[in-house]
Amino acid sequence: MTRQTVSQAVAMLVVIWSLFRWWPHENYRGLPDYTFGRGDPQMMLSVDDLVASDMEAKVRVRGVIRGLVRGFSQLYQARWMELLRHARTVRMQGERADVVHLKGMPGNDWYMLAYYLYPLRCVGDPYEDGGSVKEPTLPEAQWAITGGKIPRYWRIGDADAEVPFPGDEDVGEGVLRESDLVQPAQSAGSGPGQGRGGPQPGGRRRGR
Amino acid sequence: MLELALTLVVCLVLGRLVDRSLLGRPGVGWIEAFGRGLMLGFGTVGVLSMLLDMLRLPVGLVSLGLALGLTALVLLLLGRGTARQATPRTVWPAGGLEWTALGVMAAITLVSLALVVRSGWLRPTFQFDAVTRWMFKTKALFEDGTLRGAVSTDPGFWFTHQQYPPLVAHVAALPAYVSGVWEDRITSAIYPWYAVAIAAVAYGAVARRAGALIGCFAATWVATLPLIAYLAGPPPGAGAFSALADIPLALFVLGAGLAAHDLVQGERPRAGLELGLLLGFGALTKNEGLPFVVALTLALLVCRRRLPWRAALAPVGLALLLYVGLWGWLSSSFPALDENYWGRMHGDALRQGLERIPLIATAFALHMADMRQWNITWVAVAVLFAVGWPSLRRLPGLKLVLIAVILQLGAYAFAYLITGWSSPRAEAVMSGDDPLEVLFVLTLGRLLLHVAPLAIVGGILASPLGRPAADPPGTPAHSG
Repeated sequence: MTRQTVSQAVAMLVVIWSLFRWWPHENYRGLPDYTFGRGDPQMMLSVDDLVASDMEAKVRVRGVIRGLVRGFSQLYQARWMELLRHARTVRMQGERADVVHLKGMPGNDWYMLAYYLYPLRCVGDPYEDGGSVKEPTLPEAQWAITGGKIPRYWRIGDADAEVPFPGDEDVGEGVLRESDLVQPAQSAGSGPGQGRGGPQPGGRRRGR
Repeated sequence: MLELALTLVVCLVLGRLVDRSLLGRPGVGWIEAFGRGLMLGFGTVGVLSMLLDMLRLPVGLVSLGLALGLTALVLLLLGRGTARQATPRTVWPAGGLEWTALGVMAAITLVSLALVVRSGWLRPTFQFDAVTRWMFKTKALFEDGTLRGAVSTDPGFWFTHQQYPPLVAHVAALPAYVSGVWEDRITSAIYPWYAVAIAAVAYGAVARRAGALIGCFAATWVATLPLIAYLAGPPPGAGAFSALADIPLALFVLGAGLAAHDLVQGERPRAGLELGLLLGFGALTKNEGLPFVVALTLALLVCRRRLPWRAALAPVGLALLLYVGLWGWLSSSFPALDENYWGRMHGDALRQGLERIPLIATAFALHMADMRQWNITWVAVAVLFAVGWPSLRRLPGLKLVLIAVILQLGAYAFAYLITGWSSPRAEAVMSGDDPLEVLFVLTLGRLLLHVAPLAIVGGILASPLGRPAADPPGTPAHSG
């Protein structure tokens, strides 16, 4: 076998292999045939089609994609959407110099919310650095967002928002149950705690 | 859409002007000219924006627009009368079977790149690293007009990796300046175009030497790499649509490697200047661009043959000047992370690291053989270099490429050797084992991606596939 033949065989294999990846895998999420990643391109396409069909719902799209990245976690999706909604409300109602206290969430969520909220400044500690939903709100903050069992937000000065709330328990990643969730469809646009008997600070304008 | 289109046109025009005025109008076909235009344009726009920030001028639509316009004018004046260098005849397939193969590969390439561009357009930024590093810096530029502010200097923003070089963030901010509204979906949509440029540059570099069929094969190979085309993770942050700096760095590494090849082979008169610019762009794109400056310099010194010392070292000087002048000096006052590799270069860390050698060697081998991440890329590259080995003695440019790739991978292995990285999650997962195994999952695929396109092009050109194909009698010359 000549060097030329070997090279040509290699080239043919490279092209065939790139096509092989397009061979759909029926049970992708079960991952029995994960080694060769058969069907990976279809996986990407299906995510993109989902996004394309719902592009106007930016928060939902972000939540869905993040959930897919986090191992197809629908639980994470729903919670992340809720947090993003609160971040968007605070971002729109807050002023450039405002400070937001982020409580009761893991570092990765904390840092990403800091991006969505920028140029509003975020303070507080994530779980890994000893943060908790129960920590007192820092004096420099004008807003607070908690990512505990039930994500919520409030403007500092709404006295009722500081009342202890049944959802204010610390939860780490992956320990939530479906039954712990406030479904996004129920809480959208009305503020956290809806239907739970807790305070309902969402949607108020700041009284500066 | 308009913002993105305008940004791409600006980058392309500026890149073409750089190619024409500073680099002596190299004779390349239109596909390669397109890829080179994007590559040089992205780098030039980023450098100009960084220069404005360095000069303490607020970066925005007006200031950057003026800087770009002025630069274009100067380049236009400089390039007047520059004669185009001779374009090598691109050999096209002679028979029907070869044309069919070319058509199939071209279709695969176009579909793959179209999907990546579509993904980048549809998806908002979703990867953690992209959000907290590159997009955060892009947003800070848009909101504050500078990266000298709190995001870079306040230790509270440590998670943005303040000392990381920000060239891609400066480029990505351009669509936001044009639209005047922050929408990270549109801003991050520019990233897949780095992958398009990689495929175009790879095609041109190979097609000029080995014909259109093999050039198309090179483009197909790089455009269908899973970590570029459709694999969003693991490793997290892969995929040209993920708005990370790894694929931009791979583009500059490919361009610099090819320029170094041409410099050593004496194929182009201004290859040294191009090499210096591209090495500088790479160093300003990602931390890993700096070791590549060293790797390529060492490779140049080994393979330089009759090339004078000054000609071999001048590009490095230019690259370091760009890096230090635009970012290195400024960022040295920013807070540093724990990932301080210089601080780990002491006896104890090295002694501890020696125990990791088997672990690191195994991880490299397993990742390179991972079909899901790479198809058969690294095995194929190794075979192509092996069958082309006898010819490397005659081709110092390709020997240089091989040495530079190996040295860069060696630098990554060394970084794993001495790193003190850990994380609460890694400690929880590993329960006492070396957290390095988690770091491999998070980073190794992305690190390999930096040199993969260069290794692929080098492998193809070193093998018999890369021999200049005979021009069949009667075949019309094309430039593609």
